This record gives sequence, C-alpha cells and structure tokens, in this order.
Amino acid sequence: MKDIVQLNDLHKKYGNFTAVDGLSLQVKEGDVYGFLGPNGAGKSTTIRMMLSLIAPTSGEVRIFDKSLVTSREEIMRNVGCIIEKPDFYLYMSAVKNLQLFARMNGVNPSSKEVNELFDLVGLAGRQNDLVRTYSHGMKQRLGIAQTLIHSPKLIVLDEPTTGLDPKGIIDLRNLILRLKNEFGKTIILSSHILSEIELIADSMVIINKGKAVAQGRVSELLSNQDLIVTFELNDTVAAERIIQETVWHGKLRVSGSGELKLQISKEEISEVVKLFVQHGILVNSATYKRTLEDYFLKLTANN
Amino acid sequence: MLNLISIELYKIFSKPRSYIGFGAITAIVVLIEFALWLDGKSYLSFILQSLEQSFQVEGNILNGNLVCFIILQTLIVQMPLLVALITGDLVSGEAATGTIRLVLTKPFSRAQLLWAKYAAGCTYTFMLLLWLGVLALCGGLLIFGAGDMIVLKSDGLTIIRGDDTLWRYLGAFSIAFLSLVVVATFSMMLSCFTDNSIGPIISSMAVIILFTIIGTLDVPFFDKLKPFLFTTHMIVWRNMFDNPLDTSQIVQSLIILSGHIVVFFSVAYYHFTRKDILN
Repeated sequence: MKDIVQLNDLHKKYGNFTAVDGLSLQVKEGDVYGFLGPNGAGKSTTIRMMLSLIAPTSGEVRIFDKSLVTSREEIMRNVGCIIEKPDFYLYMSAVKNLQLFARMNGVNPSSKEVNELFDLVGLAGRQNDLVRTYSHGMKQRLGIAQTLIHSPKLIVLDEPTTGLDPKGIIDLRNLILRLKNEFGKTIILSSHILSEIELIADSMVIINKGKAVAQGRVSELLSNQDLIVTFELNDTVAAERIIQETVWHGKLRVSGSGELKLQISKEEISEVVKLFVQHGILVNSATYKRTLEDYFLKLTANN
Repeated sequence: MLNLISIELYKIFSKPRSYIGFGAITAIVVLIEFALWLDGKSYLSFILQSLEQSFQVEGNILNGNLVCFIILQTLIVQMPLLVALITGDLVSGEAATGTIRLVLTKPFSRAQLLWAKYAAGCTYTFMLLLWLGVLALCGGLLIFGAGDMIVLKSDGLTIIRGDDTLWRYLGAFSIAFLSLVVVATFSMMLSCFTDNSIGPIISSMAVIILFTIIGTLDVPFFDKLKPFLFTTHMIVWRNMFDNPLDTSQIVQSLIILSGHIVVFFSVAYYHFTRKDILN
C-alpha cells in the first residue's frame, strides 16, 4: 500500500515554545491511523498543519504524493475533516449546511445522495431541523456527513469523540470502521485515549512534547505489553493460591473483595481463565483498561 | 469564484441580522416621509424663514427631490453602522462560531475566500444603499411629486432644476457607495484580526465617531489631520448638488477614499492569508 500522507521533519515554533519538533510519519492508504498523545502534545497543531490551517515553521506535508504548499487546492478536494468539534451555521438547517459545504467542495449532490448520507450517520428525518436545535452528538454525526459529502479519499477526525456519550462513541467507532471497510477510506483519527485508538486503528503514532515517541502497526506496538487484568471470581483466596504456584506468581498485583489483579499480556488472559476453570473457580469477568499514561510509563521505563 | 461569492451572499442573507439594516432604513424613511407629508410645510418655513425675508419662494418646494436630500443627510450617519454590522462579522463571525476552521480546509485559497467575502460585503452594502435610494427618491417623488430642488448649505443656497437632479443623485449615491465601501473594508480588516464579531463592529463605529469629532473640531492640530481622515471625504456626496460642480474636490475625495480601500484591504489580505488558525 502506498503512503497517502507523509510528514517530513515537521516543526512548529511559537516564539521560544516548540509545539511540534521534527515530526515525521507516513499514513498508508486504506488504514485507520491513530494519532495519539496527551493534551498539549502537539496533535492538533500537527493536524492543523496537515490541513493548512497552520503554517509549519519548517518541514513538509505531502498528501497524495503532492506538496501541500504547491498543490493545496487539488489535495483538499479529496480531504474531509472535523477539527476538534463540528461547527456549523446554526441559523441554517442541517441539510442547508450540508449543501453549502458541498458547494464549497465544488460538488452539487442530489437530494437522494444527501438523504443517503443522513441515513448513514443516523440523522434521517432530522435534516430540515435548524442545527441550533441539534445536540452535540447530532452535530458530530452531521460533521461526519459533512466530511463525506464530496466523497474524499482521506478523512481527518481530530478528537471526534469529545463530548459524546458512550453510545455515541460506539456508533462513531462503528461508522469509522464502516467507512474503512465498505468505502475504502483512509482515516486519521486523533485522540488522547489509547483504548479508543486500539479498537479501530491499524497504525498509530504516539507523540509527546511535539515528538513521536512510538509509531508503527498497533498490533506490534501493543503486543507484549503487560496489562493490569482484573478477574472477577467466586473464590479469590483459592485463585491467589493457584497463581502463587505458577509462573505468574510474581505478577499478582491486588487480591480481595471478589477481584484478583494480574499484570499479564493480552495473550495470557485466556490461559489464566482456563487455569481457574480447571480448578473449579468461577470466572465472572476478565477486564483490562490500557491507558496512555500506563503506556507512556512503560515507554519511559524502556528508554 | 462566482460560486464562492454566491455562497457568501447566501450566508449573509440567511442571517436574521442582515435584515436589521433594511428594516431600520424602511422604518426611518417611512417615518420621515410621513412626518414631512403631515407637517412638511411648517418644517420648511422654519428652515427657510431667514430667506423668506429676502426672497419670494413659489412652487412645490417640498418635493421628492428635496425630501430625498433631507433623508440622505439624516441617514448617511447611521448607514456605516448598518454596514459594519454585517461586514465586521464576515471573518470574525466565522472565527467565533468555529466554521472558519472547516471553511479554510476547502479547496480554494484564503485569498479567494477573502475576495469572495469582500465582494459579498460590497454587494450587501450596495443593496442597502439601493434600498435607501428606492425608498427615499422613488418614494419621495411618488408622495411629494417632482420639482426644483433647494439645497441649503452653510455657505449659501443652490437651486437645481427638477430635470437636472437625477444624474446628481446617481453621482451622490455612487459617492455614498464608495464611502460605505471604505467602512465595509475597514470593518472587514478589523474582522480579520479578532475572533469575536462584536469587536470589529464597535471598533468601526468608535473610529468613525472619533474621526467625525476630529473633523468638526476647529483645532489647528486637527486641521492637518482632517484631509487624511476618510470621514472627511464621506460627506463629499453633497458636492454633487453644487452649482457649478466642483469636480476637482470630488475627484480628490474619490482618490483618497479609494486609497483607504486599497490600504485597508491590503492589511486584511496580508494578515488573513498568513495567520494561523488556532481557535
């Protein structure tokens, strides 16, 4: 697969402050690319440089193998985006907003195409409502529709789950996966939540203080990374005794009140569950939450 | 480019606030015309009382031509506010709502967008002035009829034949349009520097009021400044009703007003095409 986006040694300075410090990355065609980093890491600045909202101090942005400086308009014809939050003309209806943005992209979609988009993002029946009456989640959906109105090859979503309720997050995640799988879109997705990226991204970069601290395929970056897995059991005393007799005896973190925590890899979870079941211990659940903070701590420890 | 201009016009005319200007002009013009229709003769007697001691004034003095002139003199003060209300919001309004982020990722350059916004702002200004012209001149002629026009100025009295007024009004409205375009350009320039829409509107009005005050004060220091203030030249439309016409004064003012437009637009262009969108 060819590279759709290339950032080459990108820098952005504001006086003495360096927001982005020599960032280089490549996004493959058809990938969901996670752009991960804590707040203030330089994600939004980088994304804005990719979309020509901010001029880099130095370095180059290439999209579709063309320079953003020399071929901006040609590039942007094939890019759809939401930056931080979906903003619209509140005094217009959703459908008018969509038609207006379509015209800005130089396309004139038919009513059928517009209605199909409203269907796709789950806003069917609400297209004639004023956007000022929309909830944040609905605006986010309309934002997605806006990114798709001109059938772009590349979609950039900057923190798209901000302010969404859990159902909204799941819906958005499913929609992103549909866009990738059914429509073959390349999607760049920024977030500060690792689990969010882990669930849908093929590749990712983690940036901190404007620099890439890790990048590659998500499966490779997150494999062999120990997780704190919480097992909900009917007998934690017996379970702890069993664990003490295994190779995981040094991995026990907390035990008690019906829960046992082990620091193990994702692949080992099924083995531990199997062990408990063999010893007649009932496993109600095995859950883990991988946080960016944990990952950073591990990266720092490794370095 | 035409597509972009039509989009910008669509945005302007989709906003309820864009109709405030048309509503205000309608209300004021109708009110003035009604008041003059009701008691215009007393008003004219009061204005012309010193003249009536020396001259015998006959015929239909209170006619559409004079009524339009009175309305123009009254309304031209408020017009810049009505224009700035829209043009001061052209860029900053989008920055305030956040739509500027999205708009600037579309496949056209910032320069094209600014030109389109400017063209739409100027079109709005033209339509506002056209509406004023239709109501004041056509409405005035319809209600009060045609006739010779008496123009009373501080330095004398001019009488213009009725059939000699139309081209003067066309000239006066054209100069007024250029003056309002200066205000539109100035407020749009301010609009490029801020992320809130109220700031440029209030700042534009504050500058116009300040310059107008400087223009009316007889302080020697201000006398050096006055020729360079755009407000000094905004009232030059009145010179279209001089007899004979002082074209050199009019041309000079048009050049200075045009110069202001070039400077204000250049500053807006330079800043807008280079600024980082951080909000």
